[in-house]
Amino acid sequence: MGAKTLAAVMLVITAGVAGGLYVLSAPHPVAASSVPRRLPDLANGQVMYNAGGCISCHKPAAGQAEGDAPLPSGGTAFNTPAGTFYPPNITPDRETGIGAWSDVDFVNAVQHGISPQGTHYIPAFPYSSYGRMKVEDVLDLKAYLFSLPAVKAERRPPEMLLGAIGEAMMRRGTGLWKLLRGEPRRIAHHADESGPWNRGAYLVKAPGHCGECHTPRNFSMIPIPHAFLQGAPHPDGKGKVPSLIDLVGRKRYKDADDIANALQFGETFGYDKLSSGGMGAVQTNLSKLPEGDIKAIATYLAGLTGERQ
Amino acid sequence: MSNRRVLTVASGLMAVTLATSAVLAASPIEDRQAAMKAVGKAMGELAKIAKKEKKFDAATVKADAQTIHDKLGTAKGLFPEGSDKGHKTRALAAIWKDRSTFDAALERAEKASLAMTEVTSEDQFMPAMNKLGGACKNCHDKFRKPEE
Repeated sequence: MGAKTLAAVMLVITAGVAGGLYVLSAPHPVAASSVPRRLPDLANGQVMYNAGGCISCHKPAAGQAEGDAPLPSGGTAFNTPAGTFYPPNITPDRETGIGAWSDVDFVNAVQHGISPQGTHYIPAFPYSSYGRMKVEDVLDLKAYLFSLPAVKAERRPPEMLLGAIGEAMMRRGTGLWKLLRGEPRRIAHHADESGPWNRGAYLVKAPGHCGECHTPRNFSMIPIPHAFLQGAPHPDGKGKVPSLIDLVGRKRYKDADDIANALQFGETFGYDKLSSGGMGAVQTNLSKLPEGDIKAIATYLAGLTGERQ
Repeated sequence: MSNRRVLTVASGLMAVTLATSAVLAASPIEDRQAAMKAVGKAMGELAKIAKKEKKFDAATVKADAQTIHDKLGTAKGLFPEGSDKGHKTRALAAIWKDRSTFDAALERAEKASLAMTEVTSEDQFMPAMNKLGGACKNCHDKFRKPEE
């Protein structure tokens, strides 16, 4: 085979592989017909907003209006090894926020990680967990966000290695990552467990997205299912995110009530373990949940012994 | 004792004192950890009242709040430049990068503990506790590493 032929064959293979990856990494949004019509429940939407911790990432950048109840207008830097992202404005402003989004746009974004423009969101946005939510809860969350005051805040483009090309590659790479990860599964109801346990399991695994930090990931950054909530290196690279397995047996907490108190009151009740590494903001969000939901989370967590998930 | 001997003994004692304080000063990390531990212990006592495991008693609240206030006052001087290394510590480099925010956060906690020393009745307790807990959390959130 001559050098020219070899080069041609290589070119064909490369193009084939690239084309194949391009096809494989394409986003597959769901159709509008798959989203149920719903009379939204704003109170439930607010529960999902706080359980989901939306404000932690979508909070306004320092210097912009910050108060006791900041609006999720986005702009605070989110640093990843691939670059710096600025979580967008999710207030209902039509130009700079999500005010023009349809229900199916919102479901595709939150549960499938696909923007209305048809590109993949990078998985720093925890849609792999939100993908386990009931679609009714997601629609209520949208209604709640739409009930907030609209804020004008332009989206800041990410600062990536290799700029726009790097961003495009990252987004396409995310498509391949989603294939490896598989579709998120809805949370099964365990008839042999109590109501609060089941509610807690749902809040922890779906909107609460606890596993995004508390579950270790494999080499392709996919959370390891059999190591669920067993603790992981801190995403910032300093220290560890602790294991949530056997919290009572390991004497981290006395019982489910103790865990509930820690989540609800944090340092006001002398629980200082939760305020570092980002958990402080999580605790602030969780403290806004109805008491029954906080207790449900605590019931589920207190029952985690390794075998029981 | 002759004057000279007194002088020798005195200077000897002084040398020992200086050496001891030098050793102590050489380890601000351990000192501030001891201070924070004492704060945590006193805070735990106040938390018992918040959790209604213990009855409100103005005198013990004042004593615990005073301990917190004193220890925070001590801690203030125990974060010198460069004391992010040399001993196991959860202090984040952000303390020295953003010193003014750190100092303000610590001062907020000091003020909240001072306000707690002025609590005389049960209905003043929880609001003061919310402020104090919030101040602890505010500083820990920003300036303390997650546990190892």
